[in-house]
Amino acid sequence: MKGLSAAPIGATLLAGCLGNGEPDVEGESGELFPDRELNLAVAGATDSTIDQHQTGGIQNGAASTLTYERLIDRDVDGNMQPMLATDWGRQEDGRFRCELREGVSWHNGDEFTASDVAYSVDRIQDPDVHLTSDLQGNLSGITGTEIIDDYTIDILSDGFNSYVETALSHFLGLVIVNEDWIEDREPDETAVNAMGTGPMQLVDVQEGGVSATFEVFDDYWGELPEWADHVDEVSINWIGESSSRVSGLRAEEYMIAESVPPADVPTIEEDENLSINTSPTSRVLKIVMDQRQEPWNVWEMREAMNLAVDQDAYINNVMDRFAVKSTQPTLPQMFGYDPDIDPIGYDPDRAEELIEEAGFSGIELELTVPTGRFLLGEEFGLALVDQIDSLSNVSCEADIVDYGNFTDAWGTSRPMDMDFFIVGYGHPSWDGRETIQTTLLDTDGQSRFGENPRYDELQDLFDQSIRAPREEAEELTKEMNRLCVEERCWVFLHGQQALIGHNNVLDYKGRRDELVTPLDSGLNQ
Amino acid sequence: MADLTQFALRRIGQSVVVIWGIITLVFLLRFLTPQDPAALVAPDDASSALVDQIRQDLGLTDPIVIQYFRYLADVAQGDLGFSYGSGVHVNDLILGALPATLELAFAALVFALVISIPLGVLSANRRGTNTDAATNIISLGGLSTPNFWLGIMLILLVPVQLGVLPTGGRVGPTQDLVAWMAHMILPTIALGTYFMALLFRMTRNNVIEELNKEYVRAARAKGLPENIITVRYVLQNSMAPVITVAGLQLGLLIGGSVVVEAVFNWPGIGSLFIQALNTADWPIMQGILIVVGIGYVVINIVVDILNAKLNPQVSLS
Repeated sequence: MKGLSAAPIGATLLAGCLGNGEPDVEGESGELFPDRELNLAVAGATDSTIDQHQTGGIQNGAASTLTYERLIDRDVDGNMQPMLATDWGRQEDGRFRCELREGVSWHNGDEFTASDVAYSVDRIQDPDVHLTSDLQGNLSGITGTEIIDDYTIDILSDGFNSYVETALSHFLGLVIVNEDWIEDREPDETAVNAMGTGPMQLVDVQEGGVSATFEVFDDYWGELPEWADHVDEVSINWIGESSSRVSGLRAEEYMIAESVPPADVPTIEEDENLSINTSPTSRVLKIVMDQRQEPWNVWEMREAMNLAVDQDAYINNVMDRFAVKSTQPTLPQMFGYDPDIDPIGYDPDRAEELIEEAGFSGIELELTVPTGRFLLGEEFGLALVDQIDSLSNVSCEADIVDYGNFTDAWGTSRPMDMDFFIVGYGHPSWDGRETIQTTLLDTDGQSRFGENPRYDELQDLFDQSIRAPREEAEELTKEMNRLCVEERCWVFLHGQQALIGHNNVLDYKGRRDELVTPLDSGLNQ
Repeated sequence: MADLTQFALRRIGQSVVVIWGIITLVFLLRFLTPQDPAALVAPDDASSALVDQIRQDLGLTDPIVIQYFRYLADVAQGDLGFSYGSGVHVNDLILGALPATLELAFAALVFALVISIPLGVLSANRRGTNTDAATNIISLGGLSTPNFWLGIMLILLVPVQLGVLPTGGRVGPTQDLVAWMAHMILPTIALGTYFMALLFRMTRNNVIEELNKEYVRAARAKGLPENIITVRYVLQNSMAPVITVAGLQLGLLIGGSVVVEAVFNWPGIGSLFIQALNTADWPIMQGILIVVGIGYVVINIVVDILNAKLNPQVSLS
């Protein structure tokens, strides 16, 4: 936390610039960061554990990625980079070999070896080792490992599986843990402690999703971020209240604040010491139409809803610049995005004709609009309701519900009366197949696509893509996207933007996988 | 003395029934939501067989009566269960967070008492003056300002605009005493202002009532200085109800700190409760409700007993 004596960074920045013309970002105390601390304010934790094998929550990634690592990393643009594996490749169908980095030390001084990788796979996948890992589904198709030697391991899968690289490289995939350290502890201890190989070592957790404090791990195998020389501690503060995050940023207590409300963007932009980073996230927003029942099992009605929505209008007028038009289940930065798919377009007259043809003229609709989860969720939801309601042969009302209640109803009882709703889905895998699998092929999942006659075709394409080499898999994913668009699986809305406020001391790099981390950032000097 | 012991035992006996009611209510609350705890514990894409297995492991397939008595027995033994999200024992989570909440609640209470009593006496002594009007306006403002709004305004004014004091978080007093105090100031004001205003009103009214009594007139007639009359006689006689209410407010402060803790990122049971609410972690929520409920009951008993001991007008029957 910022101490009373900490000099405002902004003032010292200015003072430095006035001196000899050379920018000097150091404060009066000679420190770039107050009290040599780099504090982040991220949105409230989604799970009450920092054991990355127990949580699928993206917000926890801010803390876990400081300390835990994976075999393969992704840079800010999603390109794969060596991490704990220095080289990797497919030996044969079902066998993916990773050459592991030597000389890597765990934070407790243990040596990292292939047995840690094997254990990590087992802990996620094997019910006998760990019953309920939230990451199980993210290692789809991986069946086990075979240790070749201390620094070589084969990841085994059920035949050729092009999803392996994906599973090994995102922060909710194969996270590597220390076998001995985990085995010596009960699960409730690993929930509030961490032992990784990453650049930051956990020193303290305030339980209940409040904060976690890390210090720089001096024996880190890789290159530490530029700012690490100026910092003794990094803290992740989970703060659900957005105004508190923004206030902390403005008071220069936090160097980075996640999910800045759009209303606060002008205030931050006016502050010469602060900036807003806007980058696309993996979260795709859509209107789900439950295809198990009328009218949504009728293609014309799904098409009509797509034609009734004016994406450009609501994105420009309601979302300001904080949304990217969505044309398909996969977002542009992801594996499998098809740039040749055109938007369905806005044509209310045609929408009315289709509704008439389908025999649903005069239908009364209720669009469920969850609030408190998606950027400007209520605002754009109400705009969509207005657009649909403006069709002459449809009346549409909004059912505004708190996101917690929304997920209760949706996740457990799945009532048939909530058949038309807005929801968003995001995943850090950088792979369009993940979204399609979770939201369209999981028959209990978000889109209730299972009743569509082309469900089997989509499933078949997905299976083929998993078994295909990566180039071919990409084409198959594009084909899946085309099928989904042809079937009007959703009303396509937009990809959500991340609004990250940061102090100008940091050259903050926004990521497209929703991970908020200072690790990619440099210094502005 | 025997009467007082009997009184205390009777109050404790009544409290056992109240606590049993709290536990029963808290147990039943979970059944008001459609959420399946097993689905919350299971991974997102768990098979129905795995969810069934978890349901069985958690004892959720047992009849509700069996579940109820098991829960009651566990709570009676001080076992509040395990977090669905982390597997951490709820007792540990609450014990970890409770000191921060108690610290804030006590600080808010002290703040409220320290400000309200002198102001109340001052206002009563200067009834009808500008001082009285000003303090009444402050009191009205304090009573009608929601603490979360006050918290946000304080943050915007003090740390953001003036550049002093932190916007949130907590530092332990053993870590850094100055930083601990700095972190305490704004949340204490945000939480304590309402109670300060409330106690100010009570103090003012009680002091005015006492000032109109015969013994005050007699004391003045004897020529005793006004400050001696106020401090030695009036204040002492008017404080009993104020202290009683202040004691009872402590329970409300603990419960009322939920929102203030969220605004100031204070790592107490309020923040823990909100996080559990967001993740539907029922064992944590239930544990906090029980602890706060029992705390409130205990404070009531202590205040009642102290009141009975100190105030001869209280009937022990």
